[in-house]
Amino acid sequence: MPSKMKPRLSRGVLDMKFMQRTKAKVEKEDDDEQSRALYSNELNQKMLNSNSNFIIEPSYSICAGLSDGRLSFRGMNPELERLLELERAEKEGKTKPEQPTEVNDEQMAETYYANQATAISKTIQKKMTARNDINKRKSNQKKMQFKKPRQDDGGI
Amino acid sequence: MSANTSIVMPGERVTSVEDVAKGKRIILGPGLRRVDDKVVASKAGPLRHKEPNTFWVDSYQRRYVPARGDLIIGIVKARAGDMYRVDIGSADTASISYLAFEAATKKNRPDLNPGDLLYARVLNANADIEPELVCVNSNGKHGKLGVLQDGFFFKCSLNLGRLLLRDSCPALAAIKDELPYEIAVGVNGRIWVKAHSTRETVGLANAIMTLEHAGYAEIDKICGNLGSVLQA
Amino acid sequence: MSKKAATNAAKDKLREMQCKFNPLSRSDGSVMYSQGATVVIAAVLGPIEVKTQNLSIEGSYLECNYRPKAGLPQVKERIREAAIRDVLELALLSEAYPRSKMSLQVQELEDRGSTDACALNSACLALLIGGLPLKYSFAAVHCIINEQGEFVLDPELNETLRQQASFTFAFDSVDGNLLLVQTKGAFKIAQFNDIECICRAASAQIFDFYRSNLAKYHGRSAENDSSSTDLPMET
Repeated sequence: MPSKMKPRLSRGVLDMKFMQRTKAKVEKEDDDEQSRALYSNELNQKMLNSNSNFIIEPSYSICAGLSDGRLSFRGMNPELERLLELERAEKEGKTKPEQPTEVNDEQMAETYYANQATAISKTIQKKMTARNDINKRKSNQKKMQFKKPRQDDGGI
Repeated sequence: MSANTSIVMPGERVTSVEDVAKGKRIILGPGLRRVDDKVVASKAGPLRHKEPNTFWVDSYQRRYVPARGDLIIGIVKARAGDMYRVDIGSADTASISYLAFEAATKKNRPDLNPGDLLYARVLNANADIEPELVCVNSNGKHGKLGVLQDGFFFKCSLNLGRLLLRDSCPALAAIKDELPYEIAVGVNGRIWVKAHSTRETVGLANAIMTLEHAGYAEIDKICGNLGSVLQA
Repeated sequence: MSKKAATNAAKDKLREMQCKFNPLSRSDGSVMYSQGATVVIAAVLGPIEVKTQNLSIEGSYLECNYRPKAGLPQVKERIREAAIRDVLELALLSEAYPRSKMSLQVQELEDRGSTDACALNSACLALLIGGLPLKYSFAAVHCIINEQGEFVLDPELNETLRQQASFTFAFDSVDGNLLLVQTKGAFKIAQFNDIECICRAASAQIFDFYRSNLAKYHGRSAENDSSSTDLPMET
């Protein structure tokens, strides 16, 4: 019998700080075993081994892919119509065929790595010219001033 | 029209579904059940299929059986502690917590009275427990859900509700051309409509009810005539 | 045996069957059904709320009422009710809707013979159109042995006045198993077997009738079937 028994870690070992993950694992195994033992009379071999290909879905709405039944037309309920409009836009955005890309994946990868290489050299350069930078920023500050929006920008 | 429409009858094995099930996972909708590894129909009606792997029986039905995720119209019946009892046409009355509304707190309860109409989503549905509703989406916004004010409410078969909600159904779009209106269709066979005047609202309700005995095929034809129904 | 059955049969055809779905607006499914001159209306409700005393967590409670053309239900009607309920309990998938009630009402409009079978068939049609979950559909057939010892299938009322024996069988649609046997009078076991064969054959005709009429009712939505299968091909 003892040969069949799995070696168990002692409590003292499991309580150690670096064994926390193992402890969780062992506890989960114990739990599983217990629940298996609890239901072992009810479960037969067939239930354990069968993997069903069927999913039961009791809702007609989900099966038939029905749309939401709350609609408004021609300004009857503007709030609702705005919501519907948003939804429609989102749906169209999603279902749109793949947008033609200006840059293909390969090019993207190439430029990305090229950029990374330059980025490293840039950081070194930056460090070198850090002091100059601060000076520059000071001189730039004038340009970065907050601009008051024009009056007619407000109402869109 | 044709008497030889292929329908399935209760107890019938649906081998066409079984064949598909051999290759991949399939979804069995209402009216189909699994007996060991056989698929058997439990209701009478045409077998429907939606790509890629959904099958169900489109039986005629007037009694609603709650299913999770359905959008339904309920009538508030009573207030019970921190719940409202809502009649949704099923065997059990449903319940909705007063916290299941937008911006509701323990202090700030929604103002609902018996007789109010709710457009709500079924959150929980199980044969063994009473169904539970919500009036907010997962972001805590009411979205399209909530109380339906004014308007006109009537009942119909569940099939009519489903018919109107198909993506390709031309009926609602056809009515749109006649008058501005607002509608809520519950898959529990309840419809609420609202137009600018009582006269228009009643006409609208009549127009929708004429579709009750229409098939998918006849709808286009009937939609052409909806204008005349609305005038009447 | 079948040859003997054929020679013994004075009439081996069912009377003409007709049905109209949903004549009642407030039930979940109803049917007006006639077999010859016998006419009944059957209506189902379900699943609906159940009284606590009848509540069962195992399955739905089944209620069955049969009302005669006039007056209150008597013992005869109670027996008929019980027979219908027995068959329904076998056929209904009651575990699908626990804590609920299924209710069936049968109203006799005209009793011109074979009412037991007629009530059962109408009950089956009502369940089918009401969308209640069933294990199988069922059909009942009535047959008698008349004074001359001939078999009369689905007899008229006047033919049953002088009979040696009367039989009502109900069969399920899947395996053709017997769901109900009601016999009255004196007969030999061979006659019983013959009549069972005749009735079984006739039940096939009733199942065809169910199917064709339901298909006709659903036929309005038949065209969608073809269009929905076409669509994926186009896109």
